[in-house]
Amino acid sequence: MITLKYEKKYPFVYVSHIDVLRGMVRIIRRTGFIPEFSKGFNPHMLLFFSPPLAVGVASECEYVTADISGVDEKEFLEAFNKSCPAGVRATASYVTEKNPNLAGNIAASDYLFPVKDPARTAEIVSFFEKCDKYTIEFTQKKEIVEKEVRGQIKAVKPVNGGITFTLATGNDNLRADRLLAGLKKDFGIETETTDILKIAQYVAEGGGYTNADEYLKRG
Amino acid sequence: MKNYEKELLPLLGEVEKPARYTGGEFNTPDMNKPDAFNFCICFPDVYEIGMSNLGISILYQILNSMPDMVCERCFAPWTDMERKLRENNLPLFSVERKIALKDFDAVGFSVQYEMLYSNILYMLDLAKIPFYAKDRGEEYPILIAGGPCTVNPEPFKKFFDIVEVGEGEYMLPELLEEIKRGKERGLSKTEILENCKKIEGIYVPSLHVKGEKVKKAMVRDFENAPDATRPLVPNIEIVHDRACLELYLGCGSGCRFCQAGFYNRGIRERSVSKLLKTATETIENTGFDEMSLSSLSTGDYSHIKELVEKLKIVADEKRIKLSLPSLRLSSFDGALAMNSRKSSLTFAPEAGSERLRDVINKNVTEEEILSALKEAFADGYTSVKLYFMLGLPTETDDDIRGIGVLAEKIRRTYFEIAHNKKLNVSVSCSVFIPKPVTPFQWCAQISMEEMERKQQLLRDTFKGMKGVSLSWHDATTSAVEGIFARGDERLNEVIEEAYLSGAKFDGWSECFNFDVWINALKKKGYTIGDFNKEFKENDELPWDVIDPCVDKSYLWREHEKGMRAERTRNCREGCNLCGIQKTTKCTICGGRK
Repeated sequence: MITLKYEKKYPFVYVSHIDVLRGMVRIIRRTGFIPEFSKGFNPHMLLFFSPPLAVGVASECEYVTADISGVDEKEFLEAFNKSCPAGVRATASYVTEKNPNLAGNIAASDYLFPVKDPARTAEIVSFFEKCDKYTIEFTQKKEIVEKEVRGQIKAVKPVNGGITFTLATGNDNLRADRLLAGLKKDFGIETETTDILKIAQYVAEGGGYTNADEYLKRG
Repeated sequence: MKNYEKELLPLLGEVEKPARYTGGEFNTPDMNKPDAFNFCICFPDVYEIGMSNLGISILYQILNSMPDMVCERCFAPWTDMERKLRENNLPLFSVERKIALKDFDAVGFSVQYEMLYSNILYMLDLAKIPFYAKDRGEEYPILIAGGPCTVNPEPFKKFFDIVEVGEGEYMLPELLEEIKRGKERGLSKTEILENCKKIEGIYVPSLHVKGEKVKKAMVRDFENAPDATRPLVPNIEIVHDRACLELYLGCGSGCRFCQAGFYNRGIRERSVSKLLKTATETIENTGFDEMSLSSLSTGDYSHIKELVEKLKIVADEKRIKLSLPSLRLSSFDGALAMNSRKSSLTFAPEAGSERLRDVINKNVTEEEILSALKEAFADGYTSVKLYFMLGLPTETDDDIRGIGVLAEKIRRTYFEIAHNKKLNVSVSCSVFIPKPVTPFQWCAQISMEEMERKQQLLRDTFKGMKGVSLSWHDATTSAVEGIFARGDERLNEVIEEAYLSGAKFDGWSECFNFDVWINALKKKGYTIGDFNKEFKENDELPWDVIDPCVDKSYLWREHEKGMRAERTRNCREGCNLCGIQKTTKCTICGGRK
């Protein structure tokens, strides 16, 4: 198996996860390296993805695993990058013995929310240090839903030019764009969904988080 | 030229399917050639439909392969984006470089079907370009119309400086070169148009002299004509989301209702080796996992078996799926219909009785239909889609009831073979529109009352029939489509009136508003009956300005044969001397009698 770490940036950032799945099959086909296919009645290419990313949120740490062998991973990465549409670029490749099942194993992700005003950054970080409840509102299936999400915000750190939020990802998931809507409402920040950048994904291990890159390096 | 990307970005989070507007698809050509002539090709419907059009894909590649030409795209923005553009006072701009349409040297509209006419004005309005050619000064781009609807350009001709008649593969590059030369020499728009008028297939409404005929442009050597082996690969799902292999141009079937069949004559086939090369390159360049074989009657391609056998090898090697979308019943061959899931077959008998099929020259008997389906059912198919038309010339109520009788016979045929599985027969009935450049061009379209009566008769016929689903085209859209297919220049003002009263996206049932059209006609002093009427043999037809290279006298002879329910052989069985042989040679017979 080869796992590629790739960036999803403008304009591909506006492509939904379902279209990413379809588009990735085409990218891989264009590399000329054909992975294994499922054996079912309607065979499909065996590709495995890290958890979906909300439309409009950019990322420099998405992952796709191809069930492919006998191929040099660096060569595969190069061919991949020649086959990508604008906004997609692989930055690392990893060989693993079996499917790392990132869709199931990824438990958290870091998102960088740019915030122009340092005072506003300090206010938000301080708020989350103290509060044990934070409720957001969002629209789901045409209905407005209220949800308590403090438990899904794993860490809040000030960084140069903004805040890094570590958010629950995967089966228990908090979408960065939904959190942003809450922050805009409560703190008046001017950040847009398209300003958010996902910078790391983590696998839950031994009571803590391991960066997905480190996890994949182990093979 | 201003780039509107910065203005677009904040809007993208507020609209559905933002990737419709961003571009960045794989295979996008270099858009930054120095001193290039800038052309924008517009499709007056949404991205997913426009991107499915093979013609646009071919022209886009041809133009962008020219050293000093940049061709961009623009699709009709959906109404959510329209609102955002208007709220922010932004003009409509291109997908690639986000340049306002009015800043291009020339802008071309692909007019694929009649229900798009209001959207031409919708796009011009958003682009802040005046509707009428006469109101556009030198500061505006030259506006060009092309596509199948230019077979009758009269209803929309006043909106355009130039109308391209016929196939664009060679005509459009030549036209744009002429415009470019004119601009470089500092010629006025009128002087440029005068020069363009000399090109085959070019109609300049403002300079047209009564009695002049515009001969349609044709691709004479299809084997070596440019094709689209490096099409853009959309980032979002589109309607025809697959590679497309065009086997031949034209059609020899001679179905008397079929505009494409007559207007696109003669038959120009590509060789198997060329098609295999095109198929392989397209698959490798795009990564599509499905390829459809496309032509007006794919099954009639001279070397279809050889081609399919060889393509199957390529498909297996590349792990792609092949599909044959357009099969005449008489050309059905189980081995060809290689849908691995054996789910559904689509056939178009068009009429419910053998007599009426003879009238329309759909040369297929009931026996052939049932025997083809028997073969398909034995091969494992459990679902059949059948297409019919209502309101065909000479149609009687018995012909309509015949659709139900045929569906019932198909059901019985199925259950003679398969007893365990459920059968799905889907019957779809559109309303016949007598289209220009067909033998039925002189016929009237049936009235809306008659459409509704016939549809009710059909529903009654199918009542209680198990496993058969029936659908039909709305009478109102058929009526509007009919007047635009057959109408004349009086309709330009009607289209403008309807657009200003809210008509847009008329091809979308949720957007189409019949009352707007009726009121627009009324306001201009017309009724539907003024445009869908019958013509006499010697009447001047609105589209007589076009020379389709098929003789009008031949069409009339076919009309008369149709009225007598006499068949005409397929061109593949021998040339019928329709007139096209004077212009180009069919690759199947070279014009032999």
